[in-house]
Order: sequence, then structure tokens, then C-alpha cells
Amino acid sequence: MTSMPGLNTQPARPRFSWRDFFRRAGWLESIGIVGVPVVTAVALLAPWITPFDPQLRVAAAFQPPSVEHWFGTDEIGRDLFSRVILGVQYTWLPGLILIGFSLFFGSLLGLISGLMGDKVDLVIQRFTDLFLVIPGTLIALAVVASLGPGLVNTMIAIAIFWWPWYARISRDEIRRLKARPHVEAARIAGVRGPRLLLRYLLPGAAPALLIAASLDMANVIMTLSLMSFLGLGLPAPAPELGAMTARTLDSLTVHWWLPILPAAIIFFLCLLTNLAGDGLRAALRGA
Amino acid sequence: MTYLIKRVAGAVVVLLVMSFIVFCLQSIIPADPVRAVAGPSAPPETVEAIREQLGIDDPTVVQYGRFLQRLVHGDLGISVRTRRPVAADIWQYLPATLELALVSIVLGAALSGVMALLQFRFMGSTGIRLAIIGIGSTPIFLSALLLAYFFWFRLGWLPGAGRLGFSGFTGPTGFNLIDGILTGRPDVSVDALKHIFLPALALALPIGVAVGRSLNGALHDVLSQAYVRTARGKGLSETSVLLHHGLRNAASAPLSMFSLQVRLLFGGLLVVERVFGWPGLGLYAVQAFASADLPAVLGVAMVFGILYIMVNTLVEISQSLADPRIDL
Repeated sequence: MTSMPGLNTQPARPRFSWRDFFRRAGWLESIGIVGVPVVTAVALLAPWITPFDPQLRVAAAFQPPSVEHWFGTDEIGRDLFSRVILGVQYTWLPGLILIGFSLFFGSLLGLISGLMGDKVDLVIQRFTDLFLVIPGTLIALAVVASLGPGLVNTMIAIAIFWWPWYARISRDEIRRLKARPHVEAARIAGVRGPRLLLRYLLPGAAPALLIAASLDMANVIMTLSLMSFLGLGLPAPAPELGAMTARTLDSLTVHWWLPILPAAIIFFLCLLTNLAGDGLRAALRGA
Repeated sequence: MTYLIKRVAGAVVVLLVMSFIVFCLQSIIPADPVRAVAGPSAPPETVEAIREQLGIDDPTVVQYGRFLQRLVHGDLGISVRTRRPVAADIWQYLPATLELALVSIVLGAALSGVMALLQFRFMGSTGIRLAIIGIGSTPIFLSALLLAYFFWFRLGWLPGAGRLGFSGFTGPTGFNLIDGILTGRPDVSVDALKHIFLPALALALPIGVAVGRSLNGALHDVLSQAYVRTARGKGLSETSVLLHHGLRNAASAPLSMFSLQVRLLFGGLLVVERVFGWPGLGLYAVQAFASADLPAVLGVAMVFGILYIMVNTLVEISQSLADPRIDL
């Protein structure tokens, strides 16, 4: 294209640059943003990248952390680091699935509520309010205890009570956007239905939902590990991080690494997602 | 006044929904209750009679009504593990949990003031910011374990298990801190205070950080308002400005956060009581999980749920008192 000097014929759309993104997020928060996909990769590849077989005796029992066994060994002589890596899989992937489900289901309900307005909005809002004030975690605990412990039961019980925040956020965002001039213009121009939703409303609502989801990941991980700590997760040989801490609680004064290091990994995962959420918020705000 | 009625009515609805969920859960017990009463070789007529007697064939609504009636009379069934009425068990363990929860809340409120002050004083400091994100990312069992490990095992400053150092003491209220004073045994109160400090601190840390952060943010907003400038211009001291114009107007958001944190306390109580061997409802619930003691689990869930909804309603009402603009 031949360009006239001083006249820019391209639409004024700022290029997305990663450098700019990370600068806005802050250096500490950038570590979190980079860390999340890294942890996801570790969680997905966990069975193949553990240095030792997590279910077999590989050394003497109760070895403190050393160069060979980074996190020491447990009461049977299994490598704790390998078990913790596998434990990351049991915590991180369910967390991602739960967040994904809540984001999808909650946003959908919020979208319907925000778009339809009137009676539909009122009914959905009352329904959401009820779920927001009900003691969700307590009931989830009771549900899992009644249906029997297990990862799937735990996930179902948490999922039932996790979506309302997303419904609230997406509904408020949609209502805010509906009044904006660009949406009004699109409507007058005859844009309707899915196209209005996908091209004009969702891109505006997405940042708020994404930020909420990334900040929420730590809450999901904490709730999952709380359930696991209370013995409501997978049964004994499975290396769930919370359960590993709970089972070795009484050996705190003798073999401190057994209860503390798995719990420290949960801390690390939460820290990473909290930093990533803060970074995402700083980077997307105003964008 | 209408606001108050609406709030209380809302709380009752939530309570009913929760009790219905608990009712559904308790009726999915895998074992057949009729066979449990009649025995495996009972003739069909006996089984039929017992079905009639237990009301198993009644419509769900009627069964739920009976369940509610029992609930109101404080009948929560018999614990499978302790073989005692669940209500009696809960009554025995409740004071320990309430004592721990109340001390944690007070400690948390004090900590949030300190945290807000620190953030206000060292604005934008990376150290403070990292500390806040760090404490906010710590699962409660890790902070409880670390506190127990260092202050009890390593340093030996404070006891790390149980409620009291000596056995056999029972007071009129069940709250050891108060009972010690009431019965003229100050040594009991001091010992109880030492025992409660670490578990309460583990529970108070997340409260302090979250509420402190919110309080700091709200104070910043309020102190940049015009009426604060006017108050300063009138020559009021900074303390007076902060107390009379700052705190009250900044109270709403931190109060919401405080109520959220107090509601999160219930999950934390289970963990902290387990780690510190605190003989309260949380420990009772954890033991009930381990032995699949469903009546006990549901009983504790119901009691915690009622407390949770009460806290929620009280906070909403106090918020509307602090800020008259809030109305349903």
C-alpha cells in the first residue's frame, strides 16, 4: 500500500506486545504469570517427570532432605519429592477444571440474566443470592462425607457452590456494557443475538471474568486441599498434598519434612496464582 | 424496621434451604433402616409394620416436616461413633470451639488494625506487599504447623496441644478463660490463655491480613474526600479526623471483608483444632469424618450453618446501621 506521509490509514488499534504486558504487570507478578503455564505443564506431565517411582520404596525410610532426595523420604522409604510432584497433579488439574466449569456455567447464567433483564434477571439473581449466602464449604463437606470420600465427589460438591460469583460478575459487566454507546450503535445497525454477544459484549466482559478467575484459583486450591486434609479426598496410597500433611501430622517433631513440605507446595501454588492474578489485573486494567 | 424484618426473613429462608439439604443427605444412608430395626430374617408383615412405624412410605414433605420438628426439639440423632445423642456431644464440645473462635476474631480485628497501620506507614513497600500476598497464600494447616513447630517444639515458649495443662477442671460456663476468674483460679485462666494463643493466631492471621488490606484501601479513599480536607482545615487533630471522619465512613468494605473472613473461619476451625488437638466441635467433626459417623457430621454442619447464617445476618444489619444508604 502506498502511504501518504503524515497520514495513517490503518485503524488505530494498539498492537499487543508482551513486553508492554509484563511491564504493566510488574516483575514479581510476571513470575506468577509465567509460572502458571509451567505448573500446568508439570501437573500434566507429572507421572513421567518424577525422579523416582512415587509408589515404590527407593531408599531407607525417614531420610531427611538431601541432594539425592530433595524432600527426603517417607515412612516406607518413598521419595517425597516424586510424591509431591504427583500431588501437584491431583491438586492443580482439579482446580483448573473447577475454575473452568465455574467460569463457563456462572458466566453463561450471568449473560442470560444480564441480557434478558426483567423477570428472568430477577429469578436468576435471587437464585444466585441464595447460593452466595449459603455456607457452601460446610455443606460441601457434609455432602462429601455423606456420599463417601473421593476426588470426583469432592469436585462435584465444590462445583455446586463455586459458580455464583461468576454469575454475579458477568451479569454486572453485561449490564454495564449494554448501556455503552458502541453496543447501542451496533444494535441500531441491526446486530442481534449471538453476534452481538460474541463481538460486542463478551470481549468487554472477558477481562473482569479472567481476573476474577485467576485470583480465585488460590481459593479453589485451598478448599481442595482442606477437603483432602480432612480425609475427604482419595484414599491412602494416593499422594494428595493435603492428605499427605494430615497423615504425617503426628511426626511433626521427629520428621518435620513429612507434614510441612507438601503443605509448603500448596503455599507455593497459591502464591503463584495470587501473583498471576494481581499481575493480570494490573496489566488488563484499562486495556 | 422493614429492613430488619426482610433480613431476618431472608435468614430463615436460607436456614430452611440448608436444613432441607441436610435432610436429603441424611436420607441417602446406604443401609436399609427398616432391616436395621427388624433384623434380616423378619417376616414381611413385621417389615411392613416397621415401615409404617418409621413413616418411610410417607410423602417427602411429611418426612421433612417431621425432620424439622425433631431439629427444633434439638434431636440430631445418635452418633455412630460415641453412641451418645449428637446434640449432647455438640453441647459438650461447643464452648471450646466458641472460645477459640471468639479469641481468634478479637485477635484478628487487632491484627487488621496493625496491618492497616503498617501498610499506611510503609506505602508501596515491596516487603509489606510480599508479606501480605504470602500470608494470604498460606493454607491454614501450614501456618498452624509452622506456629506449632517453632513456638512449641523448637522454642518451647507456648504449649502446642490441648486446652489446659492440668486435667479435671470444669467451670460453670465451659469457657476456661472466664471460668478461671469466676472460680477464683487465675492460674487456670493464664494457662488457658497460653494454650489458646497459637491456635487463635493461626486463625487470626488470614483475618488480619485481608481486613487490614481492605481497611487500608478504604481509608485511602475516604481521606482524599473533600469533607476530610474541611475537617483538617477546621484545625482538628489528625487523630480526631481519623476517628470521627475516617473510620466510620471507611467501615463498610472492611466490615464486608471481616464478615467474609469470619464465615471462612468455620473451615479453618476444623483444621486448627485437628492440628492443635483442641477438643472442640472441629476435632469432633474430623473424627466423625474418619469414622463415617453421618449423624455427627450432619449435626455439626447444621450447628455451624446456623452460626454462619447468624453472623451473616448480624453483619448485614450492623452495616446498615453504620451506613444508612444501604437498604434492600
